Amino acid sequence: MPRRRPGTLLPLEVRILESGIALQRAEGSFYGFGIARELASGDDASLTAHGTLYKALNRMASAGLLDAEWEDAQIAEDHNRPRRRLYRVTGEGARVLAAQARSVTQASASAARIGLA
Amino acid sequence: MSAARSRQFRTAARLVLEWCAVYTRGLQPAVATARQDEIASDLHEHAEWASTAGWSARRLAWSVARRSALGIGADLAWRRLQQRAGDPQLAFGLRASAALLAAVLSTGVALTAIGVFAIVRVIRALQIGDLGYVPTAVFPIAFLAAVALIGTMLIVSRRTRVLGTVLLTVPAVLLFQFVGSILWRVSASTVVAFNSAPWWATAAWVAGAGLAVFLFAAAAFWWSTDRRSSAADRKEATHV
Repeated sequence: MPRRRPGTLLPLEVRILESGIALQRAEGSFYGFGIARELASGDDASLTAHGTLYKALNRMASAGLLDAEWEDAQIAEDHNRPRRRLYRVTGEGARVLAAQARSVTQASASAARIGLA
Repeated sequence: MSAARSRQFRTAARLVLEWCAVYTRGLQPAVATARQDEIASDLHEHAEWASTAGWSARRLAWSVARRSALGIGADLAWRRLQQRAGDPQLAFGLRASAALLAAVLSTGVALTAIGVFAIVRVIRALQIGDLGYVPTAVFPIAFLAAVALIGTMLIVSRRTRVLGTVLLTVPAVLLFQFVGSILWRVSASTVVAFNSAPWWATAAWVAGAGLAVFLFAAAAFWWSTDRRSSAADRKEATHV
């Protein structure tokens, strides 16, 4: 598999960051299944596979695009459910997403100028 | 009864958690536990969401199983990454083990094929009348080819890999001698080759002995890595 250029995002990572920022605005943070549900938009057939989702979240946290921390055990106990691992998009994550969006826009504009779009 | 409490969902969730225990086995305990807890949380949230949305138990169980099955490749890739990050020595051991496995499997397949080839040549020689009798060397060749085949099959499973590799040393040492003596009778080109290289018998012994030493070394490597990994598992179990 070819090595990725630093600072470039895979389509799944772009969607995680976009959905994560939206969820974060509403709820302060997000968790694995929450993001899977958001990405699927109510369609269970497109719920992201466990391995794909958590590998991506793990990789993004290691790259500093996301912050990850375990929910307080007391809160989980009060709601009678397992602890969630809570994620937040970091400043670096937001910056990389914005840079990627800019480069996509520039590429589209260039394509339009030379008549490819 | 809600889908979250159904037998179908509980069975699917148990399989997902068992698979998670398999691919996190031997990783650093903190990494393994974090992944298992995150999957347990995902299963719970998935089931609660499905129950609220009015899903049937079967639909939920299929959805959970589908998400797990489609992620198997990513789970294994993640495991390899964790192994490399956690222990460079272990990562080297895994690469060495994979290369050895390929070499030993190829040896097993080649020994089996050589034995089968010699037997086929004898059968052909009998059919066309080049041989008027069945040479006695055919029987040890058939036996050694069978041993090579069994050894090769045992190598595929990690549990029986050491036994299979040790078993292969028997045909590795003896097969070339018997096959040489058979081909001498049924193959004109072999007669020419042997006449131009009168040292073939010695060379066959040396090649067989060299192959046997390589197979013993591979068996010793796997035996020692199995012992180290069992000891690590026992140590981990006593600390949990």
